[in-house]
Amino acid sequence: MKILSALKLKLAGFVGRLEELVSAVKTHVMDILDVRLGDAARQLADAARTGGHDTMRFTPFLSLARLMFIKSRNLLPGQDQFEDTDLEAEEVQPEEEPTEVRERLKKQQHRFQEVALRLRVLEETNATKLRSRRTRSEGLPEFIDEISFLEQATPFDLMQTMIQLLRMKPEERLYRVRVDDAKLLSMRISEVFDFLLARRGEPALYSEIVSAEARREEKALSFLAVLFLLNQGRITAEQSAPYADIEIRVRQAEGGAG
Amino acid sequence: MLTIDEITNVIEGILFLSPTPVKIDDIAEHLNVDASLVGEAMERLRARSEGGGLEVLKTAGGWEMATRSEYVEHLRAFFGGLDRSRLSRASLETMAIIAYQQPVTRGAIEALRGVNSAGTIKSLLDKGLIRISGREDAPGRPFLFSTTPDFLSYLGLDKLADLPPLETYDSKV
Repeated sequence: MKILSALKLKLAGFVGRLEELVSAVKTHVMDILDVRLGDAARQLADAARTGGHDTMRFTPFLSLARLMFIKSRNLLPGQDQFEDTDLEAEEVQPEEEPTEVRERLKKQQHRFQEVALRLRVLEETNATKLRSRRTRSEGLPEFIDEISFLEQATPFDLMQTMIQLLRMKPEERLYRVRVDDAKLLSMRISEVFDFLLARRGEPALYSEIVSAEARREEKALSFLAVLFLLNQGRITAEQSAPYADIEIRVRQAEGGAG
Repeated sequence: MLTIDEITNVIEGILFLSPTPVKIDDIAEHLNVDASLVGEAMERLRARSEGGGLEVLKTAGGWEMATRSEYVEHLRAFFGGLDRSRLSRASLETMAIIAYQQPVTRGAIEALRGVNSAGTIKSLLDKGLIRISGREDAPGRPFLFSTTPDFLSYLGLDKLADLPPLETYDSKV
């Protein structure tokens, strides 16, 4: 454990102990989005394996999990991904500009705001022309299956990685982010979404999606897929009473906009 | 050797099954025929689909089939859940800046918008509408962002030149 605590991580833009990295992120000295957590995880895992340690018991992994949590929060899409939000909700840049520059920028901002309205018209027109692929899993983010690309990963990649870390045996390589040997989370998300689409607006029961006979990993995979689709605003879930089965259906877009 | 009618029928099948727009050159290479013949067949297919439920569109440098706009409500009602979420105003503005100024850094986008745009850039990356196309040769070597072919598909455009001209708005500001 001391070996791991003393380990100096060598990352792009940072060299030091994990605790120092956590501190730098918490004090905003470093932007968590610039930290390659995959490299940090690999170095910790290599050190743990070299030292013959049981990785499950090491506090550095908890520190890493904390960093992943912070990163996942930073990467989470805002509400504006699904519906219009006020620009006021976004952080205003604090820098003071000379009046001339400010005026010019204001004009340019206005110009792009105007052209964005034209793009909205194109978007809405094109949304009325349906493609066969759009009856399936259109717009769902693609997943990255290599931990080496973790710095670009979505929160759900991070969840996958967390599962991988928890299930990891010392002899296993860390770089695959598969939940089981046969299926990736992205595939299960598409399957669940297609299954729900086939209901044509009618609800499906959670127990239909996550069968009692499924293996534990498959249940976890299906659960994560449902969580992901809920998070993306693609489905709704209702439970009529405590412990009742959950009814899940594809969410109808509000206002009928394409 | 395939006849022009047969080529037209094969193209129809390819467009029906393809998840992405298909390029004429790819079809020509696959069928081992001249690209001009495929182009002619495509025009025939286009003419044949007039008045039908499907139309042939030129999108993102390729060709694809889509349902006609006038029937969209019936299709949505039948399938349910076909409505796609619209991009937010913030995302559209960010996408517009990237489309017209590409390749562009996050800093330049934020300077133009006057607000932090990290979330909207991440969202557009997730949707595959923009991509990291390189790094600027400047301190910190910031990422450069550009649009993707999916961006053109999303708006139903064939090429970037089909975007509404930005200059139009100069007279208004």
